[in-house]
Amino acid sequence: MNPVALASTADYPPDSTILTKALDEAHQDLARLKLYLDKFFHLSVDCFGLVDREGILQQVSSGSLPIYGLRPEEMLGHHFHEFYNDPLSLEAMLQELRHKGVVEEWPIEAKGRDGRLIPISISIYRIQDDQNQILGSLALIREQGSRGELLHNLRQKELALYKLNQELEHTNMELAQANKLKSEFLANTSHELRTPLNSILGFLRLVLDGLHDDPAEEREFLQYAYDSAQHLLNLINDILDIAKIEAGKLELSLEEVNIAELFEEVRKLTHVQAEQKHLQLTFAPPEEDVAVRADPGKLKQVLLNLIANAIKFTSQGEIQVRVIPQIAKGHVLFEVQDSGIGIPLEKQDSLFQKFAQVDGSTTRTYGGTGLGLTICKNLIQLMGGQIWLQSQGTGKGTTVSFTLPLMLKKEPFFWRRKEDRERGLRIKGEGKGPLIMLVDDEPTIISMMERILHKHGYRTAYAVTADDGLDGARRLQPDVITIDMALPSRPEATLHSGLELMLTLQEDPATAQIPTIMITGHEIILDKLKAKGIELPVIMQKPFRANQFLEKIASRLLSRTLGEPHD
Amino acid sequence: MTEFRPTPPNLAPSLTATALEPPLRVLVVEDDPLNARIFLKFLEKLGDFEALQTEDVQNVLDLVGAGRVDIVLMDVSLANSHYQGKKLDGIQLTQMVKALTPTLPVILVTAHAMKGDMERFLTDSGADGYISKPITDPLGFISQISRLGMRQKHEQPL
Repeated sequence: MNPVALASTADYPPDSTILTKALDEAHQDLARLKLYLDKFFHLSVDCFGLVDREGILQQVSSGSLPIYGLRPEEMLGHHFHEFYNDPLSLEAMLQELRHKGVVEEWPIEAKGRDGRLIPISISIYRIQDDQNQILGSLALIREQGSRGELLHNLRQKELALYKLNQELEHTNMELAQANKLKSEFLANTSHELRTPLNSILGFLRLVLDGLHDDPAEEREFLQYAYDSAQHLLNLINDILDIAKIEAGKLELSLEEVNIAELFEEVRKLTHVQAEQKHLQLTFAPPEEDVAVRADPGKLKQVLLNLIANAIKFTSQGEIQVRVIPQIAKGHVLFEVQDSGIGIPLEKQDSLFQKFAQVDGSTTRTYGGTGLGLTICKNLIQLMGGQIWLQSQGTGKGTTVSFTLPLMLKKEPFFWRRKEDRERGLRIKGEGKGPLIMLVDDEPTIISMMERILHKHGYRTAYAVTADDGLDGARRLQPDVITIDMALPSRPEATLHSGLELMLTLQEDPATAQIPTIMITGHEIILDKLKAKGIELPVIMQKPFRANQFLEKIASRLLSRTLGEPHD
Repeated sequence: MTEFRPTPPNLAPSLTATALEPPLRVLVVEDDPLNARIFLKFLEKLGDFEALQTEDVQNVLDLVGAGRVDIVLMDVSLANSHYQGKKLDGIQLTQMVKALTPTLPVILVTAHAMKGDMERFLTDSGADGYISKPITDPLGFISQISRLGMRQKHEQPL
């Protein structure tokens, strides 16, 4: 016996007393909690229930009555299965609960009083203790079509409607804008057609009614009527050109065009207009004998149009027409520079758009249909070139520049023939390396790139138009595609430039993963694209050296392996 | 262009009654030289008019202000007309003429002939008449000018 131990037991109440007291307190706590819980379940208008691990309902809120038609006490102690109709959906729901530990907004049919079926949605949350032992689950039941669900659905619909409304407003604005441009165009065209018609009818009337003074004046009037009819014809041709281009029906006959000869023809047709306004008009043909690949009639039309514009918008000074061959870049640069009224910076980009002019008052002042530059842009692009303009601003003159493919040697335009297109898509190269697809319209550049690539074990295929490039990319699934920015297109083409090809490749899931390299000789185009927020994946500037080319190819192949968009 | 020419009676018989009065003085404001030439010729040959042409704004205001004009034919699109350094069209110029001489008749002669143009131009400018180009009926053109010009001349207190 240990006296100390005995003494200590005598000084304190026995252990059982403490335990009893603690137990009493716990019971009271528990009773209080149970009371709260009962109260909560009793007063709640929402429907929820607690089930134990076996699925037996232990607590049910008063919200059960409006949904199931059953009071909580009628449901307690029953297995929750008894209140559902569709065993398959129930099984799927429980599987989801086992899988995720939670079920949210599960749609199911509940079985209420007298077997009545009620569409509800149920959310279930598992209840676990500290040791992750599952104690049971709490289920929240909401009648489909209940206020809460209706509100939720309503909000979703409201949001969708709001988005739709915004889209509609946007479309509407675009349509209104297009419509306004069209009406303005119609009004302008009508005005422009009526003006020469007035001269034609007026002068003919004067002659027919014998209102001229003498035979010399009669002849003069007839000449005016004739000139006005000629002007009217030009206008109508412009309008028809645009309609044709819009419908994709313009046919080009591309051939070798000698620039010096072309300049002489254009000079003959324009120098009188310039002299009448006391403007100096100079032509600077290239020093060497250079040819471009173009439709001679259309190229002349573009030059005449640009020179007429320059004369129209210049009241004093000079107009220079010059050509700069950029052999390494594979094209010839044409420039028409004037010392005229210039163009405000913010208007420069929109001027090539159909129907757009600097503004309505300029249209009135300077006449024209507002189609000239649109026609020029379309024609140059169809011939495989680019066109842009530069002006330091109002009063500072304007330079319009365009490029056309340089004619390197006389050979047939193989891109026009179907069998040649098929030949391009045949894979070449003896190595077993990656397949590089070359989209370029210049045979000498293609063969140069082929030589470099074959020497380093790559295989190649080529295409010469954007459409063929897309076709080839889909069929051959190359490892890298190089795309020349300026490509010619056949009249029925759907893609008209390398840029369009690149964007289409990126959008098409079948080709989106193929890395591209854009090739261009036009720095200015890159600046314009950047300003518009269009970023090209990888750019090669012409001219380039063999090892630069190989480096780009290699880095693009790597980017494909790593799945990164940059080199 | 200011030379007086008698009206050929066979072409405009209704105008012969006025032959004893001084001719109507018509001011043609028109930027297209060919169209201006036609209007002057019609006025000269088909009616009893003294016609003047200008597209210079100050010139127009001076002539009108000095009472040297009985009626104005006004083009709407004026390519080369400026006033105080600003470009100006026939609608604005008509407003200025009307501010200066409210009773002087102004007829708009224009190739703007889309639906609604006439109503809009007449309302905006305060002009008295509208003729669309091309002129398809020269005699009708002349008689409309005579009618308006005569009315003005006779209503005007001496």
